[in-house]
Amino acid sequence: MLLRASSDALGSEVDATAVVGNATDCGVEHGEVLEAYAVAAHDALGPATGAISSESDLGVVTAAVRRTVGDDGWVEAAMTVAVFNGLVRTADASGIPLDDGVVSATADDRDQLGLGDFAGAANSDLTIAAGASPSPGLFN
Amino acid sequence: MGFAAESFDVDVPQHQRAAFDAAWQWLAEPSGCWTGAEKVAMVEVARAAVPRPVWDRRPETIGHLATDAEPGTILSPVVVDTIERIAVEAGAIRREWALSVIAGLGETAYAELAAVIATIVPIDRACQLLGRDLEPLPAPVRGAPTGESADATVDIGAYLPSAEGFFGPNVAKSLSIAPTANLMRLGVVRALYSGDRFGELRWDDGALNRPQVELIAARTSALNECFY
Repeated sequence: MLLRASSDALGSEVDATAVVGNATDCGVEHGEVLEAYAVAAHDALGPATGAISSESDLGVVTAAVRRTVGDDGWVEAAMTVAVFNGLVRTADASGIPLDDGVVSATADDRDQLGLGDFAGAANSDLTIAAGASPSPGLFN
Repeated sequence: MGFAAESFDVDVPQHQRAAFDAAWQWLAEPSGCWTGAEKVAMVEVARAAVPRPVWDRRPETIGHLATDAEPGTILSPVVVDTIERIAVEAGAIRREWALSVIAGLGETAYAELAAVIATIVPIDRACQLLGRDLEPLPAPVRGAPTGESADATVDIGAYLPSAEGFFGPNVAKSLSIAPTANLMRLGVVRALYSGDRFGELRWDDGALNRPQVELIAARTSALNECFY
């Protein structure tokens, strides 16, 4: 939802299937290399938290990211991957449901992307009608 | 040295390194339900955890696990099991299991435990991705747990109740029954992700714009099968 909304704010159209790796040109600037970085980071990190695999293409992809968006962009990309590795553990450990406003606003995207197959979907009542109140600011 | 600028091979913003240092200090100190030694031991367990193979799946209840730490150990088997699950198999957590653990440990203790992992994992991940060694764990600060817990709670349909009156979406309030622990992990989230500009759809002050950050975030979450 935030990917689409923030792209709209820049006047660009995004292909949300990039979220599940099905877009070749998602409409985000340098999206291909950034999406590749997310995948390479995920593969290298693996599920165990104390180690990182040296048998991945993370080094190659990282070099491409640094060439494309610079070192500051690489740091921002790495921090984004890192923080969402914490948020998934928070969500799964606490069993939080989707916020009411998000349930209705993301129904089409969830269907398109197959997100309902994720185990955490069981924590949300996905029958909430459209028009529910939107969520307040996420972390402010 | 902590998370000093020179400990990274690349420039990491000061506010992010400060959030890491604050998390390390909080980790060492007693909190509502756990001592500093217990929290540090939790991270040792989380760092060493590996997913179980399919033929060694764990039961969905905790009745077979001792709730007291054995002599010479800091954490009980049920706490170790809980840490390992949240650290490396969080996607396999089910309501039945979570509720049984929460009934045994207590709501605030479970929330604090989850907050320890949710705070430290992003920091460790950041270090790994930036080619830095994991930060050594801090020396625990002596002292008993403070007993801190939310004064009043409300049910939001999660495994845990949330602090009454906590403003924010469910992911922000999810561990708010443990107020300081929740604020600590949210401090790391803010430092690494949105800062104070979450409500702004245009981010023009960084190297990446908002859609670029959100693409990485959404792709990472999908790879982790994070429904939320």
